Amino acid sequence: MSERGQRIMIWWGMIFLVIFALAYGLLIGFMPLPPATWTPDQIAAYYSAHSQQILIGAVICSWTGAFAVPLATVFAIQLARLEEGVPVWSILSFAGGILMSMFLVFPPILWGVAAYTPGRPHEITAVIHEMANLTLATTDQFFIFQMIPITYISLTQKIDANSPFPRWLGYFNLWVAFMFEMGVFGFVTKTGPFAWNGLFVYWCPLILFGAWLSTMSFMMLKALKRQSSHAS
Amino acid sequence: MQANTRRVPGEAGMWVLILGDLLVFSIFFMTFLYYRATEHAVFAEAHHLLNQRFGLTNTLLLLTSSLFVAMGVHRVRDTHKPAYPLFVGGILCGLGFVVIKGFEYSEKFASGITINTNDFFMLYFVLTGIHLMHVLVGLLILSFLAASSRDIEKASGRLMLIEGGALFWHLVDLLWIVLFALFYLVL
Repeated sequence: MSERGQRIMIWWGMIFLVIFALAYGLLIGFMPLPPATWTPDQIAAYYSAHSQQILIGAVICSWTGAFAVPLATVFAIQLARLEEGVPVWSILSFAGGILMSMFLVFPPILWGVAAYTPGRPHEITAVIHEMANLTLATTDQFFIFQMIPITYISLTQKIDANSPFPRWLGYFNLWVAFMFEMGVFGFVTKTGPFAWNGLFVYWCPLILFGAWLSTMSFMMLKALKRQSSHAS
Repeated sequence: MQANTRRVPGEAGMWVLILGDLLVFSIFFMTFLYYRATEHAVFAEAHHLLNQRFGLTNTLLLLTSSLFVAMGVHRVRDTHKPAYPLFVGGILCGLGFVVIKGFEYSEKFASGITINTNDFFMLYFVLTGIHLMHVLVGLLILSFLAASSRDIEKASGRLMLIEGGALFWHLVDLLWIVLFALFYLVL
């Protein structure tokens, strides 16, 4: 059976997530993002002072940035187990997972681009920097295409002892989906809790993203254990 | 409800969502109070620019709406009668809230007030905006409740869903009452 493969994918995704987070936080150094009020000169100075570590960070983040793909694959397979006929919700969840992966790959690429040519005019580096940070902060809501299918299946499934989706996990996904909707406010203000480094646009989604992936992965691993012992 | 058969309305898992939302809004409220304490003069001045009549009307609309919904749930659960008109009453009050909010926002924009005017209006637009999103989702849920409660047989089978949906609407109402107090009443 495929349980072993699915377990490998969960661990693969989680280990890559940790490496990605370390490279992002320690090498690129934008955890949290710097104030949105930095001037182009300040931005350019940061990139030229830290260009080597940002470029190495971009390399590591590019290797590991697609960590959401194996995770989304397992979530979708587990949803499909519970669907009858064409697994429409699983397909939507898979598509949502792949899409969200894109928006985690883009910011490190753009930070790398900003650090790539230190001698260019400061305003140009500032634009790239803004694109990177806004891409990171304002794209949370694409995750809902993964979370709503999980909510739907969790709340409508038939009783199945080996399901990794208890009903509370459905409500949890719905709540996280709600919370992630706040990220997009990063566009409208540069200071305070709704700026791109603020409590609700940066910290809440960041912490919830970690909590959501850990909870989901934990539930998958637990159910996969039950499923493989059931199969044997 | 008898004392020895106490049960949680809706279903236990639903409370993950409700308590989660309450937690987030509590952080919103604390953020508001923190900013208010640091910029007291700005907040006191901006507070006077809000239209209290709009705020009060909306509070009454949501309270009435919650009453309709609570009566609807009671009717389905305890009298086993269809409650369609009660849920529709709740929806109409909710729609009234949305329309008034629209007037209120456009009045602000017309007088040149935006999200970037100051921290008070940043919090005002974002928090009431997030709440308005909850109202819109709640209206979708209420429409589902109204549709489910036309046929009493079907409604009895979906009692847990109906209670869960009503709970969400009461949450939306409760959050508004705190928002109303913070933005419109507290000086």
